[in-house]
This record gives sequence, structure tokens and C-alpha cells, in this order.
Amino acid sequence: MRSAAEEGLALCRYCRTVVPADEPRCPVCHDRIVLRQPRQLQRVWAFWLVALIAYVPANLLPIMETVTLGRGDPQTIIGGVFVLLEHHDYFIAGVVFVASIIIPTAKFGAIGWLAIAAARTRVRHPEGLHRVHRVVELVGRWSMIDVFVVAVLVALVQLGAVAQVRPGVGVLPFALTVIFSMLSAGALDPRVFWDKFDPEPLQGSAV
Amino acid sequence: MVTADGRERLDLLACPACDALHSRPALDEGEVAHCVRCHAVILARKHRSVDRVVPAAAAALLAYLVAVTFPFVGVSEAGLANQISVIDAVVALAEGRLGLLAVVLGVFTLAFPLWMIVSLLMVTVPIRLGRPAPRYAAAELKVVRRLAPWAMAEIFLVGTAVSLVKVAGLAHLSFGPAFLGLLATVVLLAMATVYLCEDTIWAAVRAR
Repeated sequence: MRSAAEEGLALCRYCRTVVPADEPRCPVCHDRIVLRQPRQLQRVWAFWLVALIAYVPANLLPIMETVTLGRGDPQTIIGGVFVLLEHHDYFIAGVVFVASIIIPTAKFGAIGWLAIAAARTRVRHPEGLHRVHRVVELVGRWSMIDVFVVAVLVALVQLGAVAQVRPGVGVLPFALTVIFSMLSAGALDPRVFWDKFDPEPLQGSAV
Repeated sequence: MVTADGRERLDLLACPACDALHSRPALDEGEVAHCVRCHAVILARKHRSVDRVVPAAAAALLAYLVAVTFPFVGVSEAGLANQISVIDAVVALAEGRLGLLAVVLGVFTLAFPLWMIVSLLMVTVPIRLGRPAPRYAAAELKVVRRLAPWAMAEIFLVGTAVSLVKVAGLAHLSFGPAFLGLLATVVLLAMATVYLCEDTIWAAVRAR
């Protein structure tokens, strides 16, 4: 199986026209023709690192504060899950736990693993890496749930002395984590796995 | 097969996911071609695409107008009540202590879905009317593709559901027409995106 790149051809990522790889712009949709994004893995790691740094305050700082009858009760992300558990809302607690804790943490591991695999000289199972990448891209955006939960609660629960919800600063770094991990996954082009596809087992002087 | 410009290879198609080179398959409506190496979809021709995208996107636009103008959700307790529209929510956040939250909400749940709907209509309506693809068709199709992961109205709806569960013990809840409006927007926009046959539209752009 030959790839387009091996034939000196490139696929326009928008209109799917095949053109010579040295063509600067697609003749159909005029988009820039990029065979493979240069310094791609640097971009992936840069976005990954920003997301990871933002993830620390996102978890340590409260994302919102409920003020009931004058008493304030700040809540972190994990604290919000515990409150839901105390109220026996197990399903919703599960949704928030998966969206806000499982998905972001798993995503850091997954993108890091993919980027390390992409940096190797040869890849033996590109289809597995490719599948992981697709899942990461599909699922990552759902972490935004908690940001919207805070937004709705803050806007909605304004009942004067009875109950008020105020936003906590932690929600901003959390939103940044979601945005930058989406950018990080998006910067990774799964074609690099296939470029390095080599099904032969490693032998002495191969590579 | 070579066009006037001379350099594009319309007889070939590369897999967008693994770059394997294929000869471009001639598909009938409703057929899908998969990559022989990684099985990703390399080409799909949807059945009566523009005939279905236009009504779905137009209905999505109507539903969107309902979603932003009518009350969305409300709470009441001990004689105090607060009812908000989605726009109210953005304004309330902008006036609060974390104004950036209003930007996140406004951009991801309001601006991007609307932009997608409008772009879809701008591309498909002229083609539905039998005109050639408009000059801006390429740009708008790119908008649709780029925005898709960032238009988060459906995630906002789930977030709203979670918020309401959290509030349920604290106050009485009420739903406004905008809740259904936003739900309809999400479903109709998803339908319009699924119906969209990019290949047909790019073919129209090439033929222009």
C-alpha cells in the first residue's frame, strides 16, 4: 500500500483534492497544502503542557461557592461530586466524575502516549493508536460540562438571602485545560503513525 | 484526468486518516467508500443531500431563535424567584466577578452553533435553488468543518441538566420554551451536519 506522500502527492485537508505535494495552495479551495505539519509534536506537547499546568489550579481552587442564608460553601470539582453522592444522585455524580476527572486525566495519558509513539522511528500497530486518537478527539470536549454547570448555576441561583451561587476562580483554569487538551489532540495528525508503519519485528540493524 | 489548472489529480484519492492512496471511486448516492488500510471513510455520497440539509438547517435556525428569546429555566423558593433566558445567563455572568465565563458560554454555546447553521444555509440554499456553488462556498464549508468540535450546545444542555439536579433540593424548578428550543437546535443541527454531503458540494465548487 503506497501513501500519497510516497508518490509526491498531498491531500487537501478540506476539499479532499489530491495535488502534487509541492503545490502551495489547493487549486479548488485555495487552502494551504501541508504535507505534514512541521514541528507537529512540539505543538502537541506545548498545548499538552499548558493544559496540564492549568489542571493543577483547576482541581485545587473552588469552581463555585454556594451561599445559603449568609453561609458560604466553596466547592472544588471533586467536592461537587461528593455533594451529589451525599444527595444520592449517583447517576449525575457518575456523569460529572467521568466528564471532569476521568476524561481529563485519561486524556493527558493518552495524548502523551500517542505523542511518544509518534516520535518513534517505527510503529507496529498504527490502527490501535489511530483508534485511541479518534476516541480522544470525540470524548474530550465533553469535559466542558462542569464549566457549563457553574455558568448555569451562577446565572440561575440568585435568590438573594435564601440561596446564591457565585463562580469560583478554579472554573477558568478548568476551561483552559479542556480547550488546550482539545488543541493538543487536534494538533496530532494520525497519518504520522502510518508513515512509520513497519510490521516487521525488530532485527539487529533494521530501523 | 486533469483539469485546466493541470495539477490536481481527480483520478486519485488519499485517505484523510492514513494517507493511503486510492483511485477515486465513483459512488452512487447513499454509498460510502472506506480506506482499504485503516477503514476510515474516504468518500461518502449522501442521499438527496441538499434537499435534506436545507430544511434541517432552516428548522435549526428557527429553533435557535426560540432558544435565545424565550425563558430557559427558572427557580423559585420562599417567595423569591429567578427566571433566565440563555442571553440573560450570559449577561449575568458578564456582570459577575468572573466575566470571562460569559465569553466561554457565549462563544461555545451561542455563537458557534449559530455560525454553523448560517454557514450551512449559505452553502446549501443556492445549490438547492439550482444555482452554481457560490464563490464563498469553500470558505463556509471550512467554517462548518473547523467549528464542529467547538460548537458545544449539546454539552451545555447536559450541563444544564446536571445543574438542575444540583438545584432540585434547594428550590423549585421550572422549564421555559427555550429549553426545548435549544434541544431542537442541537438535534436539527446534528441532522443537518450528517446529511451534508461534502463531496457533492466540493464537486460543485470544482465545476464552477
